[in-house]
Amino acid sequence: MDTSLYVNLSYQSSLTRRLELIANNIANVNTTAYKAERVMFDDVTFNAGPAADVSFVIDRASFTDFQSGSVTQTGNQLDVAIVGDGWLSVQTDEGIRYTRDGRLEIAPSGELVNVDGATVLDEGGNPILIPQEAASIAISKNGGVSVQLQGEPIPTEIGNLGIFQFDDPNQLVREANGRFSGNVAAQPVENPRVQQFAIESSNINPIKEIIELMELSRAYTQVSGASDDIHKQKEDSIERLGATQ
Amino acid sequence: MRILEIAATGMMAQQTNVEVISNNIANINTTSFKRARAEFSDLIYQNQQRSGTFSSDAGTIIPVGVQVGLGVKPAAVARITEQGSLQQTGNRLDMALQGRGFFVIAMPDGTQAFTRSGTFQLSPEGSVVTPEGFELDPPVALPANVTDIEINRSGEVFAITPDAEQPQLAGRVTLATFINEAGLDAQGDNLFRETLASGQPFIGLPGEEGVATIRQGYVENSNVNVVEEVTDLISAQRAYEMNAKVIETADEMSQRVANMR
Repeated sequence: MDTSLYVNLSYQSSLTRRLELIANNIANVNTTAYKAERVMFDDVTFNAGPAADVSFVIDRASFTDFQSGSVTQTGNQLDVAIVGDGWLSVQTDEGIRYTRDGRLEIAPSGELVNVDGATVLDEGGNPILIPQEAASIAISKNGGVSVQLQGEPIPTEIGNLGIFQFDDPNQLVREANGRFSGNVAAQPVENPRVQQFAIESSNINPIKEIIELMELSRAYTQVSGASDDIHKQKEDSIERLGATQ
Repeated sequence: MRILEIAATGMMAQQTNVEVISNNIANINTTSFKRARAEFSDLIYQNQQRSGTFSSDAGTIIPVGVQVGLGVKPAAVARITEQGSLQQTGNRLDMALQGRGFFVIAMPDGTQAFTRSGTFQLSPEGSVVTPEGFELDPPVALPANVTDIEINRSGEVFAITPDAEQPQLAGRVTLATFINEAGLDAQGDNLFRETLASGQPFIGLPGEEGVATIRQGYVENSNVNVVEEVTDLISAQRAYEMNAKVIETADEMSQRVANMR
């Protein structure tokens, strides 16, 4: 059996998968600290006989592009952006997760939480409690959290944001709300750099995504055109061979 | 098709974004208005199970396979509590707050509301009230024959009357601060209420450490920055168009498939 149509089919299904990832990247163009997801194509070669090997396309794996997004000023005292390598750790119902999304809030209990309510942890894995009397919060360049208590002239230090890094961030598994779960050991960053009053933007480059989208659309058109040609060729040969009898 | 749904979440998110931006722009001249920002989070990721794949030859690649995210959702609309610029009005009962804090307003139902909008008036009874007629809490009452009002930075309100040589202290404005101002619940009419997220109000006097000072004869403008809002609007619109482009591409591709023989 001629495999050419199936080679085309493998390419088409890989392109569809790639479009799904591009669609998700573009949907998250304004999501804080979003990291682009990209697909990795590979070939799967079969020995199809004495004449030649046939290579099919496979979308082997997807990987996260961990490049930092640009830092955007917000003027909100509870916004932090991590500059360079580093992850905040948060406690969720499923366990400890890591995120670069630094939109913090204060829970009714006084704990520092992130925008979806997961408790932000310090270096030792404990919650950071903001006292009720705190009038303002300052987060230093290295992640130290201090509060200005009402009626007191000097700010009080209450803890440090836990900022961790991984030897190989590609081992992290991606979850919703910008969170990643680590199957690998997280080590504290020695000299973390944190920027208060700012957040990290999505690292999506819109131009790049749109160009990929256009390329993909063209490639899809070409491959389905090629499938049409193969079909036509087969039809012709059947007709001609049939007519010679 | 999943692609269409992913792109649709993106379009809906940008629509929320434009709604928030348009509310900011609509309130550009609203006294003490605080601009809002739409926050987004990504949705869950699906791990694709690809049975029957030949992956034994690749030992170096990520073990997670293909993860496809399902789009984006609006996570919150956060208020940015930056100080607005002060504008002189000359009105004796206009008070602008410079720093953190809210005026405490006694609502008719006995609860407290909080506002930074300091455009006060006098009620027929001589009380200092908001434009809606709600009194300050604690109330500040001025004598009927008041000719001029002096309010100092610490919030002390003095009434100048023809029958007294010295200005008479009529009351003192107190301010409330919140640990998480962004968590206050906006009620409209520039009023806010405390919520579990904002925490309890701390009542303080103007000019204390961490509490705003009062400027008589000024109002606080909105903290909306037109240039920033218009830039955000352009970027939201482009993001919307990009999502539409994804839908268009997905549509073309499925059309191609439908036309194949």
